Amino acid sequence: MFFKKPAIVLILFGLLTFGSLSYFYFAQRYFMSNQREFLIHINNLNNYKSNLTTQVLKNSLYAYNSQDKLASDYDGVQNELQQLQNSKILNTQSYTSIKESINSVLQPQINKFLIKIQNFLLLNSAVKNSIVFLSSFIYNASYIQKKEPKLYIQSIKILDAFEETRKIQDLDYLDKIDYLLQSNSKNKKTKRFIKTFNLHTSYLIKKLPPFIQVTQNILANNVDNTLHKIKKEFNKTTLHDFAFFNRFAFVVVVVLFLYLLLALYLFMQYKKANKSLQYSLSHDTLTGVYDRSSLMKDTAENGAVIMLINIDAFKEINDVYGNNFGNRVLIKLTERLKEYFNDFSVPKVYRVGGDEFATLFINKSAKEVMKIGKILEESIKDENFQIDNIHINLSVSIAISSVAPLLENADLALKVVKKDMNRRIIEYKEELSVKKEWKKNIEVVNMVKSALKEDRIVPYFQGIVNLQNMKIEKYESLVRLILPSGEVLSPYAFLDVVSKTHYYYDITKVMIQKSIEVAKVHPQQRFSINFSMKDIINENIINTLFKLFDADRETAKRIDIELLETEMVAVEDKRISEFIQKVHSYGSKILIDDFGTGYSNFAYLSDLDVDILKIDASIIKEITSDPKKLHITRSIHNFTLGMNMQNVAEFVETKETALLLKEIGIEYAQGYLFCKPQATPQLENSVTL
Amino acid sequence: MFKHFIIISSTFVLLLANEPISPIPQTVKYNQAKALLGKRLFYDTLLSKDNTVACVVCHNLSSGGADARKVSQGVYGRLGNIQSPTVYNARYNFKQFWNGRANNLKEQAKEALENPNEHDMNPQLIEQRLNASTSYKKLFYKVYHTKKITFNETIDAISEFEKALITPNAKFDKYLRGESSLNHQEKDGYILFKQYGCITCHNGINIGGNSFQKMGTFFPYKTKASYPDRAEILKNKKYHNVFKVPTLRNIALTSPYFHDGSSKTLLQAVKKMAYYNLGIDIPDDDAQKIVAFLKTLTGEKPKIVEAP
Repeated sequence: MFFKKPAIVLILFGLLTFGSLSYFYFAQRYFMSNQREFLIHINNLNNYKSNLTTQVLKNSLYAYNSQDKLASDYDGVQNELQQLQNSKILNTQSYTSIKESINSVLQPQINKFLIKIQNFLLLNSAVKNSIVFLSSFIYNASYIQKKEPKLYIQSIKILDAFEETRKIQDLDYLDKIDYLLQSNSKNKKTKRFIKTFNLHTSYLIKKLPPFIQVTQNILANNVDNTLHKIKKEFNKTTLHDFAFFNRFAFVVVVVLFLYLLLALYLFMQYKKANKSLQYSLSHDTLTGVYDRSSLMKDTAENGAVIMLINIDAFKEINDVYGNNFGNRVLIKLTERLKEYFNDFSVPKVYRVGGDEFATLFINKSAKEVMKIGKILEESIKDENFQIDNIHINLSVSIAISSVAPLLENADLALKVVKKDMNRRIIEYKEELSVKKEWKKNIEVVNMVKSALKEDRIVPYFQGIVNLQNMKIEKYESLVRLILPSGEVLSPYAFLDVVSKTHYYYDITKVMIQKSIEVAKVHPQQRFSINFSMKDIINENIINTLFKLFDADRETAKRIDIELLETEMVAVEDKRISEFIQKVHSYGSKILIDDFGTGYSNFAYLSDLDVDILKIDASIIKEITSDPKKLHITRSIHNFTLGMNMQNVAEFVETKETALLLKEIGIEYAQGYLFCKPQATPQLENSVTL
Repeated sequence: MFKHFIIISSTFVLLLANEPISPIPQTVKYNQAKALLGKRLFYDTLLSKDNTVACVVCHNLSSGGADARKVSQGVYGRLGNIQSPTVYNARYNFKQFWNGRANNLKEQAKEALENPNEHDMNPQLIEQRLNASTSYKKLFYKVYHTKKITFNETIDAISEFEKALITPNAKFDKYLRGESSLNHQEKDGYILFKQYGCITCHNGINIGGNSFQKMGTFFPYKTKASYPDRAEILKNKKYHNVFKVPTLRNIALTSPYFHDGSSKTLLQAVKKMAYYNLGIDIPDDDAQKIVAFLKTLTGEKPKIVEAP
């Protein structure tokens, strides 16, 4: 919710800001370029116009003058006026009056001005033409100069007056002079001279006044004034526009500022939200104290002394009162812990497991922490926790460690203290074997793992002798692990460790398969395999066994299963009896191993269809020295006889024992006296006492 | 006597202060690709309604860039009412047409193409015809990078070609640059050209073409031509018989003379001008000298005309 909506607001506001910024930029740029365009044209117009005026003056002064410049300036004025009228800025509302004055004032004035130029060009050419012509005409009239010097001088005076009038642009020069030559001469040349001369002076007297007038008109035009006015008005209007852009810029800056504020606000909100997220990631949701990940971080940052506090039998509290109650116990204990640790200025309490808490001490020695822990443990034990009228007493186990890795070591120490009912607090020490054991366990597991992989799990066979005929009639299949060095390990070295892993079942499977294989080649004897209760309740093992049984029913008849009496109570009767029944269906027999060490419940055994009881070594070993043990053996044998079972005496090591057993009537004996476990059943199956 | 001489000479010093004619530059800048395309259009009768008239028909580039006929003949044999002025150096004229109604070469070309007595075309028809031609389409694409040919591009190309039509290195230009000299007659002719006042109108780079002047300042000029003068353009009777001063460059090649083509030879033309605009019968000898000068104004044809 939070992350979506503000993001949209931020984006929208951002777009608005960006929009107004870019609008401002482009509008301002557009305006500037239009403003520049107008100014360029009005300045150009002004320049061309004044150049044109200069050219007019120049042309009026010099007789021989190229009019090219004048013509191009004339074009320039025309073009620039048109461009000025087409200026984009004039289409804007506020420039209407300027457009109006350009169109209705400036344009007519310029058109008039240009017409005056045209008139000037016509008159200028006419006047100059005649004056130039007359100059050369007089200059070349050598006949007149000789024959009519007065007339000649008169002609020069008249020309001079015209030229002065033209140059000075003052018609008064012409008032004082009679511009027509007069002579009574009948000479043809003289007559023609006078005629041509008078033709031109009559022409000049007509053309000079309008020429002077138009020239002065051109110089005294009002275009400059109008241009100046328009420029002034334009500048005033643009100033107004600039003021608008100033205000707009202010608005844009405000918008931008607001946008940044919003962004900052949202950023802070986000950080806040992030913080609570971080809080939930680093804190335990139930108790509100820090969680395991925080502890890991904190221990990594500063080496200290860790204290792990585990509630004893918390599972039972949950089971009896329910999880809800259990949670409230946790909360209550948390409060208690926080309160307690507050006195030792320990800022953080961590919940590192369901029923496990931890604290870190930075400036305390392990010894001091042990003291604190002892007081804590005792105070909790003495405290009466009350939740909803239910009073409950808690006890905790505490482990502390000052050796890195703190948490792991404390964990290991805690395991040790948990096993020991007499200790409730422990400090981790290197020599604490827990860790070594744990390490060794891993090594053992790895050893079994590779042995399985490399087929180094094998059965060893120990013969079981019929005491009546002294023949080996059965073999017990015993598991062995062969090390790559050739050393043979007995199950004590690995089976217990591995029993908590699935490798255990792999071992059982190997034993079943290999034992059956061996049984096949020794058709005279029976073979018994050891099964634990775990094996019986494991579908996979059961299936493997009976599959092999089904595959070779002849051999299956000679395969017996040995079960441990001590384990049997842990498993449902039904499952055991079903298993026994199934085994019997193949003609196989059930042996109870180590009988006499556990409960040795006859009633229980009587309910199960067991074939053979193996009497435990602890009894057999001592029958020759301890009359009680002898009595037990007799009793067991009597019981088995009555139940239609047989006995195997284990651990028979002396001839004396063997003879005593034979005397009691025990059917079978097994032990070093007869044979040690071997890789293959021995070929000689008779033994002697 | 001495005093008067000073007056006259001082007048002449003043008069001769500026050299009023300048030579044509050797080269001018123009877009070669556009100009070559323009040349093809200039020679193409496709640009006339009945496919008989091209620009070059009335502006004969192999002679003086003008028409030897008194009036030009347009589509369907229709006759015009004016003697075609030369297209050579037309870029230096301040206005186009005899009466200056076109401000530039483009306006002139547009009018000539649309005039019913000349090409009798319209922009749409020109675009239609050019777009139907694959070779023109290719050429225009190369020059203007557009798939559809427009009238404006056509005009642009033609005017670009016309900008290239300059005739540099006339004998007189070389003389002005000090590269060559005039013979006595030509030089006398130039002096007379100035002394008779011809120079007041025929000046500048084009020796004319930079102002409008009246034909017949001393005696009214009468002509049968119906061509509108400046009076009709400006709606002002004051400008009766006022026309653009024609260029005198290549004048020896552009007979007949005047807007009505009323003079067949240069000599006649010079005499006519002396009569109408100076009020004199110019001595034959002087007229001949001026003609000799005028003949030095013939320049070299531009390379673009000779190129295939």
